[in-house]
Amino acid sequence: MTPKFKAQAGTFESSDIMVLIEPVAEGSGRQVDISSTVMLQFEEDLKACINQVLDVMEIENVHLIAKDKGALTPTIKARVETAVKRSLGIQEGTL
Amino acid sequence: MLIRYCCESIQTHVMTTGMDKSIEELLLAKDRRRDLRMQRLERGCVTLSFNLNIPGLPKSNDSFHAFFKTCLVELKNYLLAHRIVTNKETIHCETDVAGDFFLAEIVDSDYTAIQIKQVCESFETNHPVGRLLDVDVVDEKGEPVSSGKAKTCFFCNNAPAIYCMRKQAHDYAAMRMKVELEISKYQEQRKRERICKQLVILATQSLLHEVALTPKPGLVDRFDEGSHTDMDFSTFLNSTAALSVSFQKIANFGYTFSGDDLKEALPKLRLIGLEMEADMFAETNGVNTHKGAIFLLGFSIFVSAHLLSEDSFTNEKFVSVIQNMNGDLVARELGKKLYLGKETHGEVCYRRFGKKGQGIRGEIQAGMPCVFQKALPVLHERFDSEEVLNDKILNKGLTHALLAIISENDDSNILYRKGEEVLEELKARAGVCMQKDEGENSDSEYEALIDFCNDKRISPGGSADLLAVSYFMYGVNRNLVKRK
Repeated sequence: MTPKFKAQAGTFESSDIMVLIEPVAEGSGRQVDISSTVMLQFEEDLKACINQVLDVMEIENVHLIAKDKGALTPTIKARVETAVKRSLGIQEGTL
Repeated sequence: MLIRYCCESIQTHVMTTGMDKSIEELLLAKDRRRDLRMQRLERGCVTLSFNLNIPGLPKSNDSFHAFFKTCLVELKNYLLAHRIVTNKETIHCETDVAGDFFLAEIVDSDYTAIQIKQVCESFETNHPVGRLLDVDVVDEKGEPVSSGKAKTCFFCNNAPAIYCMRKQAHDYAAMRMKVELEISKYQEQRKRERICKQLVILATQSLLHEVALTPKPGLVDRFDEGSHTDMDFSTFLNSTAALSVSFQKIANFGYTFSGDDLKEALPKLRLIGLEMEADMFAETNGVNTHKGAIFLLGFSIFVSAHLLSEDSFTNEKFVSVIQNMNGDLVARELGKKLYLGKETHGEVCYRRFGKKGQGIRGEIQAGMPCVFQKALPVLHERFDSEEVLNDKILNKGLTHALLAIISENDDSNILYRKGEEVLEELKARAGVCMQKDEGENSDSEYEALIDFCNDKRISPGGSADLLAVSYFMYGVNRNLVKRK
């Protein structure tokens, strides 16, 4: 599936993550950008966690921006999932 | 570009994660917080939020909530002191699954969001348990202001907090235990400060109200020096000011004293007492205004503070502790030569009058019966039903209590200077005044007692000291002991 709308989920509250999704053209692939208050060494962990959700949801073409405020794995997964659903138009709350 | 949010939407879709119910609720609560912030952002305000860093669940309970409330007051004062003003009308303060949360918008500030953040950081840094506090500032554009500094983990105090969080480095139960311990330590410290402050206030008040009580027989009062020529009202005010400084020292010492035997505290207590005497003499040009009061109030503050620290204060306990601490004070200090040189007045009295001449040491050894059996019942009867103790009420109640004390007290000072006969007459006259206290002739009887003291140059200073202690003990019971 390919996201159709700009969408976001999450907050800037501590221990949370803000996930923004921008639709891209079919065939452009995945781009995951991360800005984190967490040290760089967790960037790969964070990416892996996000990619895992994208894999399960079969999202291949997307630009995802994550602003992390120290979220734990279950929070990251939930926020990514919601953002993706909003971008697909299967969940309310999109732009 | 304004992105709209729908905070309910996350609830029903847990396809990939199999999200835990509690995490779901937590995220929803955070969404609500974000929405509240957005509403304020739409007005173009810098927002400031405050919450506690509580690992694990629940995020709030009675103890956390009380701690949050305390710290919130401190934060508000800190902001006010830095002239950072919040809009009181739009303050949001509530407790939900994400814990206790305060959100406010900053109004008319001369500061930038970054400067406000710096003030908040200094609040956290200077707070004894600042690591549990989280004050966040979000600028007018909705961007969280970050100092860029990584806080270290409050649990291991080693790695950055965020590192331990992400790694799940520590056991939740252990972390929560540490949080609870830090909070209870902090609350305990606040309790100590509150109680010690109140004891110092009461002790100082007790000396002020004693000297301000007017008229008094033979004693210095607002308008008269009684039987004295070397001191007046101002001498007592000066002396009281000097002593009030050391009351704090005694209160802290009593509250924190942890030895098994309170007798071990005596040398240090005496040392403080000697320092107080020197301070007193320095402020009174060498006149003894409060030597007896230093002794009595010193003990009373120390023991009260100690018992209050253990939540075990009762009058009975207080009396038994004072007695245990002093033991056979009379035999020890009056029966044998303690000071070099000629006999002290106390020693002379004890040698000449025996039990009756035991003075203040005898009163202490007997558990201060003048205070607890004579004066306190009077003060309870007069003051308990009064919300505010104004001058008129104080004057009536304290006069009555003073008469109760004089009628009972074998004041060794009077005994030494005037002899047994005069002392007994004074006691009897005070007793008569007391009985007539409510009657028609009460004023004239009391005036006669005052004339009697002035004529014979009697000064019941020992009773005045006991009156101060009575006021103090009444205050402890009224203000610091939880009513059962």
